[in-house]
Amino acid sequence: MISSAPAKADSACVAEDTLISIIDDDDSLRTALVGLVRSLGYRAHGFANAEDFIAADHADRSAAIVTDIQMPGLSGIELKLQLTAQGCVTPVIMITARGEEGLRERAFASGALCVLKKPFPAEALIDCLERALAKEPTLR
Amino acid sequence: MASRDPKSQTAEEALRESEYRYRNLFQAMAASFWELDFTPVGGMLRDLRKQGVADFATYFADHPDFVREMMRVTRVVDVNDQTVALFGRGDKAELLRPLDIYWPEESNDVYASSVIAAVTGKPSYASETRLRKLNGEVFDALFTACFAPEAVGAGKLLIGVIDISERVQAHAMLRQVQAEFAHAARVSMLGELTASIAHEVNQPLAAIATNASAGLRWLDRPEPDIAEVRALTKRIIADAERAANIIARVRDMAGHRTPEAAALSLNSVVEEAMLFLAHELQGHSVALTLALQRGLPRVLADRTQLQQVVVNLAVNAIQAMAQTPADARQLVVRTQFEGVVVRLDFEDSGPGIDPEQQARLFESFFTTKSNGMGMGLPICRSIVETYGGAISVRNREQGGACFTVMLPGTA
Repeated sequence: MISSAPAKADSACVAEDTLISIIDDDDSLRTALVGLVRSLGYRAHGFANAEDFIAADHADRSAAIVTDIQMPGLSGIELKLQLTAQGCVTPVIMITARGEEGLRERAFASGALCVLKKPFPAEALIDCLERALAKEPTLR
Repeated sequence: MASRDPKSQTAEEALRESEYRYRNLFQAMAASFWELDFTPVGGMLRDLRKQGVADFATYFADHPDFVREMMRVTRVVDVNDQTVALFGRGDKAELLRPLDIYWPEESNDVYASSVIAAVTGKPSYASETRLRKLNGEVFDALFTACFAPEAVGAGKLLIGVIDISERVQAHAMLRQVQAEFAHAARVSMLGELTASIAHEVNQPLAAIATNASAGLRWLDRPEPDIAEVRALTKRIIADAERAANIIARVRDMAGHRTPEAAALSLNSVVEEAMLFLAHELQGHSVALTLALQRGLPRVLADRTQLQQVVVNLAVNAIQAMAQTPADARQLVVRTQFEGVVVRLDFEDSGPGIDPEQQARLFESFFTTKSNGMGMGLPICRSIVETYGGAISVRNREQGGACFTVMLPGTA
């Protein structure tokens, strides 16, 4: 996985205007994810819930969205369905602390690019981000 | 005796009859009875007063030797057969001696209190205490003393002793069995909450892993960003502490120690219980409202057991709403106080409880769930009652059920 994730830090100047949105109701994990994405050389913006993210109108400006699945209010899956319905094709990476049956399947069915189970190695998320960013320009 | 002509009774006969009845009673009662001569104690107390001691209670507490001396000068004048059977070794004469041998040091305060009751004109005194048999065995006893003014004036005292060791042991065993059951129920409840607990622990672990990876990346840059790494490292420490706290609370819940009553804030117990409930509520789409009244009097209970009651009643409410449309699942946890009673309500928006089942709900092994053991609510009740409280359930007018726990507030 590490080999498929070249260090973005070296190309920080190129990536600086690439915005990644991160949605998680857990303050410390959200802060950590924002920090990780920043260490990769991207811009990152964190939101405590899907409603705040929608209100900020960040969906189309983001190159990728990383969202928790279970959150108070709109879930990550519901958010993705809503974005798709609005014609937004920004890739969505879903993360969850739950291992209940069928959750992964429902997440993929809603159109998630990746589904990661917490705790996940940072490389797994970086790998997903690489795939999202590689995909993103062609879809625009 | 009823056939006797009262007129023919001389004063002497009446006295003899009274004495005869007293002797009969003294012997026939199932309790152990003692007649004591405490004349020298009167002298000791008068001397104390002369020395200016007015507060006997404080003096006795500060001078255990004085209390022991009062026991030593108190003589056993007579005992009944029950006393010989309970305290002695078959020989009554052996028991007629100074009183102190029957009173272990640990029971000094009960003797002191009975003396104070006598000199302050109380008609009687009773207390549970520990007494010693001639063979040295110490046992739990109910001690009673009667202070008839004429007898006290003559330096005589009648005391009764009932052996309550079996009752005390049975109580201790019952408490232990209750604690065992409560623990078993807690462990089984934790099992049901595993997914939520795993989620709670996974959050800080995920944050730690992510922060550490980010830290490495800042270090691996051509010019390492030490400030970023320092900030990340601090966050890692905080998250590790958070994970450790969660483990500690789960361990408390799973642990098996003797329950200990302490003055607790009910609101903080409710808030702590949310650790076990937050994701359970979210996973079942239950909207929670905490309506906690501030400034509640504290309640006297074991923290873990009270938390168990809160988690159990909340989980019951969540399960009761399984068939309710997801957007209508509401749980209100309310605390308030009414006079000296602290009240805790769990109001759900489920189907309510069949009135026919309402009365049986707190009975052991009664369950309305296909996978339930029927022990949750009886254990909640036994815990609440241990701390002098009560638990009840009613259907709400607007639909749904409301479980109510009432606990006495401490002053």
